[in-house]
Amino acid sequence: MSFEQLFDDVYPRLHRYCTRMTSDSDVAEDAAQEAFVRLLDRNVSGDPSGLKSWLFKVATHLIRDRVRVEENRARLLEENPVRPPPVDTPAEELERSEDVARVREALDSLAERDRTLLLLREEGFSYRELAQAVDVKASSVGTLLARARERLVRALDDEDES
Amino acid sequence: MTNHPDDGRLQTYLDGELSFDGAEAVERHLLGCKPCQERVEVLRGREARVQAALSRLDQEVDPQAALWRVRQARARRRSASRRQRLAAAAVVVLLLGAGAAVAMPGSPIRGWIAGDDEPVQVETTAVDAEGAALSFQLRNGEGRVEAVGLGDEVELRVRLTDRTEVYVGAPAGASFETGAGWARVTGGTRGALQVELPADARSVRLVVDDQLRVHLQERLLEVDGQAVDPGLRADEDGWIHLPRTPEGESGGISGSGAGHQQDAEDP
Repeated sequence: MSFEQLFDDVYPRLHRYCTRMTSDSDVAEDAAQEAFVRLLDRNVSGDPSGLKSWLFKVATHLIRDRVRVEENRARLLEENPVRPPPVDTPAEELERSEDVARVREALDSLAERDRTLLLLREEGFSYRELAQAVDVKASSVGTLLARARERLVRALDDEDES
Repeated sequence: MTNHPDDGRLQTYLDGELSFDGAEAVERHLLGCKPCQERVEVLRGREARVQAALSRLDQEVDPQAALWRVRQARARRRSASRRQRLAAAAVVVLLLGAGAAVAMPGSPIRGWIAGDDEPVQVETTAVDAEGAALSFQLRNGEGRVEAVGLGDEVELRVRLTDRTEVYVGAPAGASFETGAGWARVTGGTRGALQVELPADARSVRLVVDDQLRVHLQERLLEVDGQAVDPGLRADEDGWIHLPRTPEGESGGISGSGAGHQQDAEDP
């Protein structure tokens, strides 16, 4: 499989995974692209499935690192707030952004392992690959996934009520 | 199956991750167990709810634009890395040659330092496995690279950079001449002649065996007389590959073909 074929196959899914993983779309896009740059830089080899796992793993680490930096920055901003002036937003757009915010809040309320499991499963990873990604036994993945989905649904309900 | 399967097992069944025998046992149980059938529906409902919720976070993606950015990012990184290696090699050459330059008035290093318009012979200095390299500044925004006597196996490639100097990587065995705003590469048997052109240059030409192969003028890139969009023709490193003989004489630009071939083997 050529690099272009791998890119065509994996990039849209990796981008979606990153976008779901972080609320910062720039961070998501950077992480997805940087993973591919590193794939080329380091001349990583293997079968397409292994390369896909490698790309998702790298992107996950990149997002985790960036999120930590952003959290520090957010803490600083909280101490010294800079508030942008209010802007008029069309009702439809406002509703959509509130909708997105509710899902984001619910997803962020999950433990990192649950979130990673759910999102990787949505991208078609097998139980064996999921087990490697979050360092658990493959036989536990079904239980963990079922609980993670239950928690997310409950969090979504809580967000809807509030 | 005498005991009811728990949610984890039912989830594993729904995800198609049970063994054949395991799945068959769950199916047999489900046929006669209303509560477990309801559990399965609950799990399915949650999955659908989760998928619908997550899809609200999705954004449109343009893979082609992303691929271009990946190539550009990698090209910039490799270019920076090569410049560092070249700078390190240049320091070594200057340090080693400083004494000789003083002691020998006609030495290449002395001439290189002193010369502006005057052609200067430059010894080939290997900086990587591909051959030798140098860079030179444009003169009044213009530059020219000439190559003569390249071996048949030598590849030709160019790419645009955001730097202000022209970078010339020559095949193994080549020798350089350079002056203000120009460089000439003679010979070379294997590897590639790779030229990096400052995108903002007023005019830069690559002439191979007295034929104008590449002309970058006011951000318009022409290869063998044809306008070329680097975004469409470059490989993942940003290189545009040229056939050894001009297009029209024996085929077209190979574009990203060489890159494809390499990548098909690399990862």
